[in-house]
Amino acid sequence: MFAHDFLEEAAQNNALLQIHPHTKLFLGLGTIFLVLFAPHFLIPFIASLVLSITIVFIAKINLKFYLSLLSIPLGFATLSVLVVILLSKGQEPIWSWQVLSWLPLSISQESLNRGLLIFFRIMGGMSALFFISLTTPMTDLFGVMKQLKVPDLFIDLSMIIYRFIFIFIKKAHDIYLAQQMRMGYSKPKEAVKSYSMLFGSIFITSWDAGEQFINAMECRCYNGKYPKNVSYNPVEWRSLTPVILFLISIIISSMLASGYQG
Amino acid sequence: MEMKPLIQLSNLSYAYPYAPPAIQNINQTINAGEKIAIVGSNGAGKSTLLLTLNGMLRPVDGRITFQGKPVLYDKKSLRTLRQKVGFVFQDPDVQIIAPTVWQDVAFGPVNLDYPEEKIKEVVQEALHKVGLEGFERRPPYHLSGGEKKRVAIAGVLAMDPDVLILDEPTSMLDPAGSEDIMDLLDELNQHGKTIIISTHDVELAYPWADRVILMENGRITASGTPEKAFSDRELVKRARLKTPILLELCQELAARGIKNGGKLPTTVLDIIRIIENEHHGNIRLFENGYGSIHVADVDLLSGKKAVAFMNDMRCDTVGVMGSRAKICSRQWGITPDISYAVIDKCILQAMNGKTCAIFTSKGMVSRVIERVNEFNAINNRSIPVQEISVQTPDDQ
Amino acid sequence: MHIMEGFLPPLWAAIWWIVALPFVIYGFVRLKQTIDENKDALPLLGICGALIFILSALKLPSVTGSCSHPTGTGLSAIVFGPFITAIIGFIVLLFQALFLAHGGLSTLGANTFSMAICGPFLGYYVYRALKDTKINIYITVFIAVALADLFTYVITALELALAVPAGEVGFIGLFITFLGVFAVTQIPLAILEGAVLALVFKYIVDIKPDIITKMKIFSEEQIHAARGKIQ
Repeated sequence: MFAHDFLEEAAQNNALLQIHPHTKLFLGLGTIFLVLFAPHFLIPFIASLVLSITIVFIAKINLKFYLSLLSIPLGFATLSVLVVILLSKGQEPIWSWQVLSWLPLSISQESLNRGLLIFFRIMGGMSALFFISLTTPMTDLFGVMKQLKVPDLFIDLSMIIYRFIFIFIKKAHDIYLAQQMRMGYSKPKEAVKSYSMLFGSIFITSWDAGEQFINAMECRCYNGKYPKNVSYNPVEWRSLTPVILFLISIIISSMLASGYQG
Repeated sequence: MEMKPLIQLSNLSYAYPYAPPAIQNINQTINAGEKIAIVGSNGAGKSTLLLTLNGMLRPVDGRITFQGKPVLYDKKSLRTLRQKVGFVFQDPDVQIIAPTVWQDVAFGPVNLDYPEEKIKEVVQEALHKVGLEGFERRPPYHLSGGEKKRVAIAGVLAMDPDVLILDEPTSMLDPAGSEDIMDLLDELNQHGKTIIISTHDVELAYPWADRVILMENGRITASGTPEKAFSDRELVKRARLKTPILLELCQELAARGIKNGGKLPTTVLDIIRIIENEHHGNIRLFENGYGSIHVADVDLLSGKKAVAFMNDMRCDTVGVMGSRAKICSRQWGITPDISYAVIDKCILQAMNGKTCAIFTSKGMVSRVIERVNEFNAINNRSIPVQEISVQTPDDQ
Repeated sequence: MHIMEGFLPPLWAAIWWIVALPFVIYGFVRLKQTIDENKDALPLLGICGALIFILSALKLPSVTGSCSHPTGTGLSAIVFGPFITAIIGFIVLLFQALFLAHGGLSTLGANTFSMAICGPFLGYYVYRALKDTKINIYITVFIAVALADLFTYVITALELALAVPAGEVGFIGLFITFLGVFAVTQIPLAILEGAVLALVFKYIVDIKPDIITKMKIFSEEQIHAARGKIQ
């Protein structure tokens, strides 16, 4: 709920911090993209495994923390994949049950495969997303956006949002603790009320913060410009080569698998 | 020091909308190179006064001149003024705007349209001055209170202002952090910046400032050397402040017939001097007279040499002065005993027979030697002080 | 409700990106106009974006488990209108994906369409329709926010259903099933978020009503009426 739960916090301390963000984004985005086209669930499964191992053993992210992260998509993935397995198209049902007149459930080899594929695509995609979030701090991504010629206003707005997220989350945490000390969240009704007060008071402080923020910018000769930092360590073949090999192996295995199936 | 008027305030008043005047009738001249502490209780009008100095608040009445010219409130003049009069807010979270240290320090220079090379250079230099090299890519929420304050100061220094205004610079810091910041301000002052701080901490203002301005209810009630400004007990009490402990001690000693020798004390060293004069010399005399003070320029040393030297000389006390020296000592694994008001505290130690080493950066070495010799001359002492020789044999 | 990374096949991921982008780009143009008129609006918009993020990051006290987070975009729609919400919502969704692992990058288009475009548009027009009626301002906020949330959830279910080839049950059946499966978490969440934001408004009205009048969310008379009724 609070700052220390953010992936960004972990990213600022990860062991791959010094690797050029392009290399890391290439791996993360490349995997996200390629996994979508994978024809067999084993491919995203293995991709997920490789990235998870990279996250835990190379980027040195705490294993327990990472496992708790993996559980975030699990609820969504399980529910939606169950629907896919029971209701999506298939030729020969292995098992079927007419629950209601309009709701026929059936499992076929195809729907099962499809379900498994989607489930592991989610896990593979999420691992790749985790890899980006856990190894590349947002502050580096702003620099990459600048290099990609994203409009300045978009980056500026993102940076202000970023800066204030961490100021507000600390305030929210303090208020939350103060409310808990006074039994704020003991009953459900109380909880809704306390929660509203917490957010309301952040809203009001943020109003003042906005005015102070404008003052502070004025004091420093604000003229509509925001500095952006784009200096990183060079891209190293040592780290880029395994990334390329990994992505190529996804492509090849995807091609092999679809050839085998087709 | 040559007194050159930098900022002149005459008959200044300011009132927030629908409120009684926050400051009124302020007349004051601030000279270039001064270290000024504006001291007053909460709501005395300190922050308001400070905000008028860089044009953030426009006085409803009265006049401000900066470098002899009246302050104008059009956009362009204000930008120039704010570049020359840097303002550091009390809460660094308010001031730090950007998501990384480098970006934040670069904020002013970028908006002043400096060319890219110059931006890199001034940011680098500002970070160097405040001792935050290597912090460039850190996000501000990852910094300690003192580090955040340094980022805020660096952000202002990067615009190369003549005057540095700091609203309550130590109110959110722990004692060690406060001392570091005050030491940094001394260093910046040594390099020619005029520094104005507001505070309600009399113990902080008293030994630090060249001049103290007392405020009460939006008015200035006293202005002068710290000894003078705080000497009127009634005034101090009315301003909801208290007399600095050193001054009170001296007043109590005087009441018991111990004379201060014409100069009110601003440091522990001064008090010791008064007491020792009463005893006609040192209270305790050591066989070898005094201890000694050794000064070293960190840029001419290596960690190995520094440690070897400290062992050779059997140093009792290590003082580290200035942010550059603090970084080096951290890298060398030397824990300083003294990191603020270093010279005075080392003299005290030496008077007590201890051997002291002071690590500092170029330019400050001669200042240490001067200050010690000056002390020796005035008080008729002979504390030996010398620069650590660079040619120390280095057996690798 | 976020669609997680990897759920949508490439074709649908691309389609939703293409559908969402015009809104985001137009929102960006509107944003730029606002900033050009008044550069002080930028920090305010940034702060609002951070608020939406915080609102969506706090777990609501509910029975529905850890997945139930408010969307927060209803608030922005009421305060800034639907187009600027589209661009702010887009950025916030990006942060949610990267900081909190809610949603994803290939699914960002779909999530933007449901959470930063459809929901806010409906919420905004409901608010506009109810704003000048006799309905109490808190109820207006509640209805606008809750409906925005519900609409978001309906669109998300639609996006999910379209992505999967339906079996015997047919497309409509699949859509209804997705609605039903997530109803357990999403309907209470919509009501809860509506209630929370209505209470937040009440809190602001009680403590600092000038914010609401300054932003022209409600008129002074309306606030007066609301205060009178409560006290």
